[in-house]
Amino acid sequence: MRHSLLARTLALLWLIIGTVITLAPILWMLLQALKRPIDQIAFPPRFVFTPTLDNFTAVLSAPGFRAAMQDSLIVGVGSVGLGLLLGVPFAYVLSRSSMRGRFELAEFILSTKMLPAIVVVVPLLQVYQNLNLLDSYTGLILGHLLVVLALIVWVMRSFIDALPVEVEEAAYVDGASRLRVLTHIVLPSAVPGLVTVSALAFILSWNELFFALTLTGTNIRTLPTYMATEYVGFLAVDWGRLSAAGLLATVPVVLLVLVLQRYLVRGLSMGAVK
Amino acid sequence: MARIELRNVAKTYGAVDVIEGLDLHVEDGEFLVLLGPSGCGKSTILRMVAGLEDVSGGSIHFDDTRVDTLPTQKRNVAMVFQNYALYPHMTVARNMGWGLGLAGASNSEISSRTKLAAEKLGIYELMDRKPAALSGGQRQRVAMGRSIVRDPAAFLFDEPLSNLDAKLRGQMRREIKQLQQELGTTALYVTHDQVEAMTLATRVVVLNRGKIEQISPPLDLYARPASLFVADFIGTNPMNFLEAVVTETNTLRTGNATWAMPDGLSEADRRPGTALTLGVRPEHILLDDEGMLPITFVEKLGSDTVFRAALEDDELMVRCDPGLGVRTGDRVGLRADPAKMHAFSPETGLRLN
Ligand SMILES: Nc1ncnc2c1ncn2[C@@H]1O[C@H](COP(=O)(O)OP(=O)(O)O)[C@@H](O)[C@H]1O
Ligand SMILES: [Mg+2]
Repeated sequence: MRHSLLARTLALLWLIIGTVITLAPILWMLLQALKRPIDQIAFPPRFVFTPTLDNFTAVLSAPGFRAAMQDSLIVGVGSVGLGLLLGVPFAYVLSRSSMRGRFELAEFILSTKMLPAIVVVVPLLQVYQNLNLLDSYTGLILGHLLVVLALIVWVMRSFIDALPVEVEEAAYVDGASRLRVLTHIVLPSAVPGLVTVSALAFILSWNELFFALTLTGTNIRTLPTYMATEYVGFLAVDWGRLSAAGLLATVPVVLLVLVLQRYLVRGLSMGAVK
Repeated sequence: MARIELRNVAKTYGAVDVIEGLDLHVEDGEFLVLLGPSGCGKSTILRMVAGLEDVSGGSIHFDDTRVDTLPTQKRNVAMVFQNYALYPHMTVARNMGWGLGLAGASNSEISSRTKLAAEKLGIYELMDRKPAALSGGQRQRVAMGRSIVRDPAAFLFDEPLSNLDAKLRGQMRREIKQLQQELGTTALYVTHDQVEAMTLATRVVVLNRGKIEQISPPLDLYARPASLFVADFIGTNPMNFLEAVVTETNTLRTGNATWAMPDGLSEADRRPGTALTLGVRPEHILLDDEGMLPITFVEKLGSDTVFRAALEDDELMVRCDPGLGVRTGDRVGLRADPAKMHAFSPETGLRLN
């Protein structure tokens, strides 16, 4: 369809504004990360300065940062993996069964996302204390499971809904067992959904600060906790290193999205992410 | 290939009886069509034969084997669905060959049989495409191909053509018929489209609310409908129905019009004063020049002309030669051939002649 020149100009303008708004903080972080301390706090802000890589080298050579990246990776992969293991079969049942109360159940799952985390975290702390889960990978993975499970169930449900049930029936008629239909028909045709939801869930876990801050201590520090405690002091904030660490922390996510781009576009454009 | 038999089959969903005590058999190699309006239970019957639904009562047999206790996978039937139900992530070749692989066929056998089926259906050059890259007609062919590669006991079709446009539907109809005749596989075909039923079937089963109204060859359905329901359902232009009374002079009276006595009525049904429902198809009404009935509405379709004529309380639909040049407001006389008139009992709705 051809749109008028005015409409196209407006759309382009809107895209430019959107891009600037989205990218401005990242650009600002980059500038801060490249400045020496004296330039960081200058007012009005300086856009012309002698760049330095000191902040990046300092962050990268800090053993704490690398450990934090590793912890984040373990917790992210762990919670997404466990989330898929529990959430995908759950989504399948919600999509396919005619069980009474399945809609209410699905809504209940979603409603967990409406509860502020702070309400959950106090009782959770008690439970974790008794179960000895505080400051452990298992503990934080389970905590993050609370964050990602609803997303996984809802997104996967709409992807499975999109596969007509007759396709499964055709496979039964073709001689396939129930398990084979799941593994060879349902899951493969939901691959864009699996990839999309895994990436989104991983990012959620990667960014998560609140549970990480409260449920872990010295053993385990994910990137957000590390940054919040290491570079943000009582009286001063080390803007240069914080910005460098922030930028470095986004690199794995950007790489993930680039690698999965093909699937993500398909997955997101299916309108399945609500 | 197999003979399919349903004995006293019933299906209930909760408290709702969808099918009650259905007896039906499909001969080996026959093309049996289940015809009926939407919601009458056609798909339910087909799905019970396939094993996708359990029976609530009765039994189903393929030849001498009872199959209603067997899972779908063990029944060796092939099914074509209305929405084709192709495996979206597999190529056309994989779609057709997957079931063969499950049955333990070797790779060379799979590829040779898939190739043969694809050539027969004219989709060989599409073998490497995914379903999303196919048109509706091509998907339909792949679904057919998936059915024929396996050499099943029976083909089950659930309204396979209703998602296609009219022209393609006619073409696929002919291809399905040819393919089934060539392969000689028993076919059970569900549709709500009478044209499909008439052209494909060796016998048609007309269903109404889960009950069989009539089982007969297609032409008999048209020539001798067993009930008012069938008479109303079959025919391009709907049959005219008139409430009639037998007169002293061995004719029928409907309002102010008089009709000849239909052929084949029993002595008892011809007694003066007996009430009948008279059925006459629009194409079986003959025009007389002399007459009193005013024409109220004319539709010129090119190949023929359809008009409505007013009786005292009713209206008659008449199909005639376009050369006659009838116009709204003309007055005509109408009569019917006694051999082509239908009489039904007003109480039971069943055929009397
Ligand atoms: N799973 C089900 N639960 C309850 N009722 C059903 C179910 N499936 C079908 N029905 C009912 O059974 C009747 C027959 O359905 P169906 O066999 O699909 O009709 P058709 O194929 O002739 O249109 C319909 O009235 C429908 O509402
Ligand atoms: Mg149906």
